[in-house]
Amino acid sequence: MLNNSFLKGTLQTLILRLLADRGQMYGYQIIKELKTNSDNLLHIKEAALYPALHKLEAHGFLAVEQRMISGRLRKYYHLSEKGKTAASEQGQQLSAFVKAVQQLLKPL
Amino acid sequence: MEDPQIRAIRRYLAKYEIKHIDVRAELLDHFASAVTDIQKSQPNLSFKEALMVAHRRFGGKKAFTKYLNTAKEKVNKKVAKTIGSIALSFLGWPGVLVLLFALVAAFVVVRFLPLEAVYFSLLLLFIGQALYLYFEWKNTDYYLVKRSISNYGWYVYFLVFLPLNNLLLFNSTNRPVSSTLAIGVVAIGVFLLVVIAKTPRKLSEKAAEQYDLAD
Repeated sequence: MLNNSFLKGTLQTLILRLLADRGQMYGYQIIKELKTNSDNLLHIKEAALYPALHKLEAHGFLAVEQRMISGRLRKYYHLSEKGKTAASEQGQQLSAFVKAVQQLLKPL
Repeated sequence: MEDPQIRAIRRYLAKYEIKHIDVRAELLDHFASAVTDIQKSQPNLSFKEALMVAHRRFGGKKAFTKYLNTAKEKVNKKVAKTIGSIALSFLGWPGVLVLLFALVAAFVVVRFLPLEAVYFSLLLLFIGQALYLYFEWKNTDYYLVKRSISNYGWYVYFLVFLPLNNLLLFNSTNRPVSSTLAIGVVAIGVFLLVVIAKTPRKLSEKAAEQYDLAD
């Protein structure tokens, strides 16, 4: 498992990218996908995900649709137009950042 | 998941102060999904044990406090926005009559009563309103409404009593404060009484619209 502090600045971008690929998802599904897609290397504190989702929603990057599933309410998140632009821009920035870090980690 | 198990999750969330529908709905689904998932991968675990695993994964008691704090921030913004939109709604017809009423009432009381009497009358009115709103909404299903009642004191303090206190402080028989200023402050107070009276109901309707499907 990776040091979780690496995740702090990138969680919102990862959520945006995931939703850009998958369309719409609910909270628990996002947590599971992030874990599975990272070969269980990224262990997001589940409680950290919801504030991140709420922040993205408050900034207008995410829109919410509510549905009844098995007798309980489920919130499905999807990208708004603003969120789609942010997902692409922030995704590119994160890739550039990762490349730069890889460059720095190369043995001299 | 069966009904008794959903009820057990609800009770468990209530233990951590997550008892209002608008903050509970998402976590109820989270824990129901997590418990189902855990029991699927570890079929030997009972419901209670699976819930405990989900609790640990979520981050325990600390995580609930953090969740509630972020919910509080979000809800406070919504409350402020609603108060603003109610206040703005009085700029159109026939709401503007309320504004006029506030101004006339302020003019009359400032003209005929000493400032100290106006201050204490407003104070009594706000205390009465706070108590009325508290008892009317204390069993509300929505966190949004509960927060609006909790924030009541702050709005009244900053928008009415702080300016009124300053008026009283600078008011003396030799140099009385400008009556226009006093009328303005008192009019804001009377107007705020009306706006605040409408706020919890408006918020409750908003929350009910959004969570009408939830239990």
